[in-house]
Amino acid sequence: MGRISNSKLKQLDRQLGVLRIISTELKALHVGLDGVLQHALKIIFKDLGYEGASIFLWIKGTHKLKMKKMVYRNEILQGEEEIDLEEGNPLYQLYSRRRTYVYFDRPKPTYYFALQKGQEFIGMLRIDRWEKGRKLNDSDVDLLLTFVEELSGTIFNVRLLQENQENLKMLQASSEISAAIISTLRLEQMLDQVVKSILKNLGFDQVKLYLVDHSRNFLRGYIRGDLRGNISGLSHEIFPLKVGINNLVDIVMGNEESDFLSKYNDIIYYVPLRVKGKTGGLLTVDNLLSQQRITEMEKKTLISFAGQIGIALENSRLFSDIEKLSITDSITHLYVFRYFKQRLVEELLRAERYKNFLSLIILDIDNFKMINDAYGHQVGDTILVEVCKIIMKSIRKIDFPARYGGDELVIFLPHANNDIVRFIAERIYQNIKSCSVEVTKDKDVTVKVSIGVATFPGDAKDAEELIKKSDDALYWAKTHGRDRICFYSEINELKSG
Amino acid sequence: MISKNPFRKTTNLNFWVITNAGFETRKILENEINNFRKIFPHYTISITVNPWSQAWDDLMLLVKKKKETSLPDIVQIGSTWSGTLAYLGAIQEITAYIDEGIQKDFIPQALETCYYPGTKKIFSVPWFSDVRALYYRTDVMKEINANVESLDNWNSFMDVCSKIDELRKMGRRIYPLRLSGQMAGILIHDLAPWVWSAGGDFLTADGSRAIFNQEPASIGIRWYFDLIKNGYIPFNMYDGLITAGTFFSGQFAMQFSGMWPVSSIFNHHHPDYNRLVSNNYGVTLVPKGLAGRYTFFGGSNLAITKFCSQNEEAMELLKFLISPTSQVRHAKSIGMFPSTMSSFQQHFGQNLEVGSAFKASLECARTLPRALTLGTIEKIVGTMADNILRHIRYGKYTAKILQDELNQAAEEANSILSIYEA
Repeated sequence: MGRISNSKLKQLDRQLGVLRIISTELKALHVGLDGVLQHALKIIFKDLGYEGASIFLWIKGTHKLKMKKMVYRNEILQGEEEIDLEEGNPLYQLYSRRRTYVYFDRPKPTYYFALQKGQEFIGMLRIDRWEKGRKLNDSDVDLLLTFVEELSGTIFNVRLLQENQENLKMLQASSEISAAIISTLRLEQMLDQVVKSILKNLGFDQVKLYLVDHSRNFLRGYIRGDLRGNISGLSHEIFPLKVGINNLVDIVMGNEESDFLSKYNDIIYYVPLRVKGKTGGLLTVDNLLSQQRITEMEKKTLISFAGQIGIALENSRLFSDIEKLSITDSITHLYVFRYFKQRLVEELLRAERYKNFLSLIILDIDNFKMINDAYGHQVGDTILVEVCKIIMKSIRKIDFPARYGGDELVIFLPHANNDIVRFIAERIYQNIKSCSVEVTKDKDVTVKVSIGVATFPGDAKDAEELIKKSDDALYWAKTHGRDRICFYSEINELKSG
Repeated sequence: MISKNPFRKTTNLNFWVITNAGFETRKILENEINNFRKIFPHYTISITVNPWSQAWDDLMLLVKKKKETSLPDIVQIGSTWSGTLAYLGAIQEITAYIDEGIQKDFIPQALETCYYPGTKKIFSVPWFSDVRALYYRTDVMKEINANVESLDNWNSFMDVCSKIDELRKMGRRIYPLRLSGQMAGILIHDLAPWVWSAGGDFLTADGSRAIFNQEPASIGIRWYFDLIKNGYIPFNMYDGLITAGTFFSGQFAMQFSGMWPVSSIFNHHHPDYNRLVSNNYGVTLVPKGLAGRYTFFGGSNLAITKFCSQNEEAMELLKFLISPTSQVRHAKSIGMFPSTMSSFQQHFGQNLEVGSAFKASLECARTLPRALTLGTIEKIVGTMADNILRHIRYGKYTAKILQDELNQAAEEANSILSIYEA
């Protein structure tokens, strides 16, 4: 064994000191990837004594390396250089793990060391030798190789930790968004909550929701929200469901493989909302303004919500159907009296507050029991339905008809004074009178009705009274020959006349 | 007067800047901050230096609450970022702080970049500006019997490129032309003067549709790619156009660039300093196209972020940094132009020849179109240019292929624009 020179001893001592720093400081860091890289570069400059160095990290799934941080004379900066590792590039040997470091003499003396953990390539450390001696000696290279091994391990662990934190964050987001989805059965509220929750938890630039209107063959925008928390309607976006109209429609029509979508799916992401195997809507998110990549984890989270939103859409539709069933009559499809009365009370309060008129018509089919007895209840129902259709055609859009019970129908008419209600009642009466219903193959029946009318505020002060006064008027009509219209305000005149 | 009130509360501000002068950035800005602190000694300003791409990303990560770090109060932003950042709620409106006198003094192109699109609401102030001109080697021009007038229009410019290329083929180690940036690819800034000088633009005036695939814009783009097809802008071995070596270090006879090389690379301490180039360079306007002469106008603005709760205090610093004295001093240090008209004359006091070329360039300088999605549109144009470069490299480039690439890129741009701009 030969003697170790003093200078060699000094060098070994220095190396030992540096190794101690590397293994203790790097491992003890809990400051995220940025902090680790920053600290590593500080060690390179201060403890290892290199004037310039850069750390490049591999962008997974590509052949590219992106510089993350660089140091030059104690100033540490974020990097922006990219290296393309195509075969033929000498640095490819590091990427393919054929070598652990590469030296370039030109254009400037530079060393590249591979950062790798086991078989996983992580990136590269570049050491610039622009000012001091060009080539490194073997022990310097060995020290740097130990350094990159430590650094690689630390980067690997920090990334693992970050991945776990990201998973946890997504889990929290999932739970919040799921809660929003099941928070209500009302479609509008549910979609509003879903959009707000996605924006809050995943922070996209914009979220949009479209629903398919299968009956009219349209894709209709419903709601949009943006990063600032603004939520607005999207009803101006209506597209016919025809292939080639635009990307949104193409996805709904089943073409999810377009070049545009695959090219931009890192900043725009479309998720079809499936309902019973059909596309019932579309959720779109984008980061077009911020240009932040939509991560695979975010995409997976969105896909998992799409299923839930699809089910929620169906539930909302069913809820809406049940709600409608509970307030509509199954034969005439008019509202039931219970719901009618509720609406009448609200409308009367409004009329009272704004000093408007409101009229009420009660209508009864003359001799309806005889028709039922003679031709059966089915024919009776048919006649009732026909009368309802005529009423619907004869009234204004703001008028509200309902089935009172049996063959009695009731309509309230907002903003209708005596003249207006007279005109509309007359129109209903004449339209019904001029219509006949086929009851058997060779027999038609002409339907006649009696009508009673009362008006707020002249005839009644509240809903109960208005109904009663209209009923009184109807009673008068029925007891005075049927087939006529009677206005409550005119009963006294009629009595005296 | 310096006010030294011991009871005055300290103001701490975080200021994020971009690498305006490489590793010297911090030092240069610290000098400026020291000047500010002579007037406002109770301020403590913490500086963070980021490169361009990181500056945007870091701000976005903070806005989206995806990164935890100290929050910036003031940020330097690219002049085209203002509208998008305002839309995203990342920066605050400061119209009330910028009186009409200050507004009128800004270079009009620079002030335009501060508005929220379609309004006169101000969200940032121009800090410094950048105009591109053409650097050329006077000795090389002599060799080919050309002069500055030969660089006046597209036809004569092509002719000069061709003659320099002949020199290269005969063994002279110099390429005709280099791009302005550090990247191997082509950026929208590179194409812009050719598109504008042909009489076209990238987007319609309202920013709602792409028109760079239509004439006259496509004619300008064709002229530009002809420079590469003819070998005047050379390829490197691996991933695009040559970036190692520049006009300033002597490998190229011409380069489109801003004014910064005059103060940095022509300084003999700079690692890329080349005495031959330094003694034989000229600067002139970009060549005139079929419909006129236009060059690119860019620069940086300063904005107050949504995180700042001391707007009045932050504005004091902003007002100082846009004051004529500070502007001239800072712009000179980083090789850029001031952003106010009153600072302009002072700025060009020294180098008259170079100054006059840049000053004249300002007259024909334009900004990129304003669109919220401009960042994505820039990437689309960049990808399209990469595709065309690949066709040229593999000898498959034709007018039809160029038009197909332009059409496809325009279609993609329109899809993107329809999501926001419509």
